[in-house]
Amino acid sequence: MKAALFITIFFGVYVLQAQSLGDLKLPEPKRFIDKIEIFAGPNLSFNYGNKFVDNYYDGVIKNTRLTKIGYWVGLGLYHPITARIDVNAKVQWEQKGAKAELNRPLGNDRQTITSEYTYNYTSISISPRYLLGKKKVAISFGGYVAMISSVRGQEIYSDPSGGPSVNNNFEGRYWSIIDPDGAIRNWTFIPGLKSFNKYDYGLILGVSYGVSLKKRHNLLFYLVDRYGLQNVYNDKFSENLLEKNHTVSISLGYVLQCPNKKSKIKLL
Amino acid sequence: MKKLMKLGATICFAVSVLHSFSQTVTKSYNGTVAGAVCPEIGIQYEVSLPTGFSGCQITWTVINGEKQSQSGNTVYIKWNDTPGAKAKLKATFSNCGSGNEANNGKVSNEFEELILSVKNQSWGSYGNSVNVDYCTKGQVLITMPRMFVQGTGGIGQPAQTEVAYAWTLPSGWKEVGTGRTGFFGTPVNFITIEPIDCSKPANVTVFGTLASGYSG
Repeated sequence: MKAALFITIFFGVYVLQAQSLGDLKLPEPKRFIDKIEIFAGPNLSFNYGNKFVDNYYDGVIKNTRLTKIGYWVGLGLYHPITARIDVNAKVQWEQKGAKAELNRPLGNDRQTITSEYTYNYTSISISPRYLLGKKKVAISFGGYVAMISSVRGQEIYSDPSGGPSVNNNFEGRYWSIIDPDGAIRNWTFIPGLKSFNKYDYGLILGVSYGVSLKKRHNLLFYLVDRYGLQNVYNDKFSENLLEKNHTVSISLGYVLQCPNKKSKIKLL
Repeated sequence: MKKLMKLGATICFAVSVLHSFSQTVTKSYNGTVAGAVCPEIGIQYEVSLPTGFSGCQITWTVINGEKQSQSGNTVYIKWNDTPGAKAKLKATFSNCGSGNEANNGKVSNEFEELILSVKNQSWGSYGNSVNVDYCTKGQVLITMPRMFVQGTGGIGQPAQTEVAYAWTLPSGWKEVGTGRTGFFGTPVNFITIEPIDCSKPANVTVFGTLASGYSG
């Protein structure tokens, strides 16, 4: 009995010592948004889905997909979940689109038509991030929703007998119907955004690397692949072909770490 | 009489108003042969866009030719080198938007002209050799039958159009007067040639040609 009392007192003192006020460490309460980011960088578009944007060859015409270079710029917020998981929400203004070179027979020559379409979108994305190792590297997976605001197109025609190249700039979409012999005998112009779906959505897969500058100031390098699931063009026009957005984006962001909330401990 | 004049003025006004609001396909220049167009070169056409048409979907259709390029509401067409064929081009308007529904389905005038082509056209009968004394310096007149473009010169057809003649002289021969040798063209169907030193057997070739060298 005495022994039992001794052990209880001994461990009781030990425990009390281990939880003395000087050693007490409560988890610091996080803010709902603990990081804010501004970022910008290049957008590389590799749209796909039809013979005017994909690599295509049928023995008569040959289409070569070219990299469409645009930009993206935006704001990001980070909501902490655990020590290694947070949720990144971004709003961004960006250029997507397609660029391609179509080579076809024209009379006794061959003609090259270089087309470039720029789609301007405002996008919102949400992607949980998992911080690896020393929390400098993070991987993220999520989704985005985008709304198109404008479109610009350019076509440059070049052929040996056609004299100087013809440069055609417009707002809208040209679709050509190419006959089996490579001739364009029917084509249509759909002005403005009439032929476009207003919204696009898709998946995000990214990896980021953070560099600490000062106590609350960081740089973030971000590489992200965004894969559109929605047809860029609507089904109101029979001329519209399938095309989906696919962009690989790089950004450099400045991230401001918000200070943690101060712990409020009431000592009774 | 007054009524008749009023009626005439009304008709004129109506026609001019209708014309100003119609969608017309026009050629950028007038060729040398009215109602005809050359093949295999880019010819510019334009469709007018009256008020209420700027937001329309425009579908172009070309027959006996193909699009070479386009810029705005202008388009360059390369017509096929097909003898006797008609060049046809039209624009159809649709999906003109709210407030302009009345313009949906309207079609421009169909631009139509004869394609001037002498591709694979046969010559009329001609002698295929001329005898000259060997190694003399005598002149030789070569005359071909005149070649005309199919579909020209008849009733309701473009003015009769004769081809130009492209000659190739063999080495050792030149054109009398101009001294031209080798390949050159003439607007007439005959040339006179002479040997530079002395005459030797050789072949002279000729083909009928239009704007950019299409032969018969």
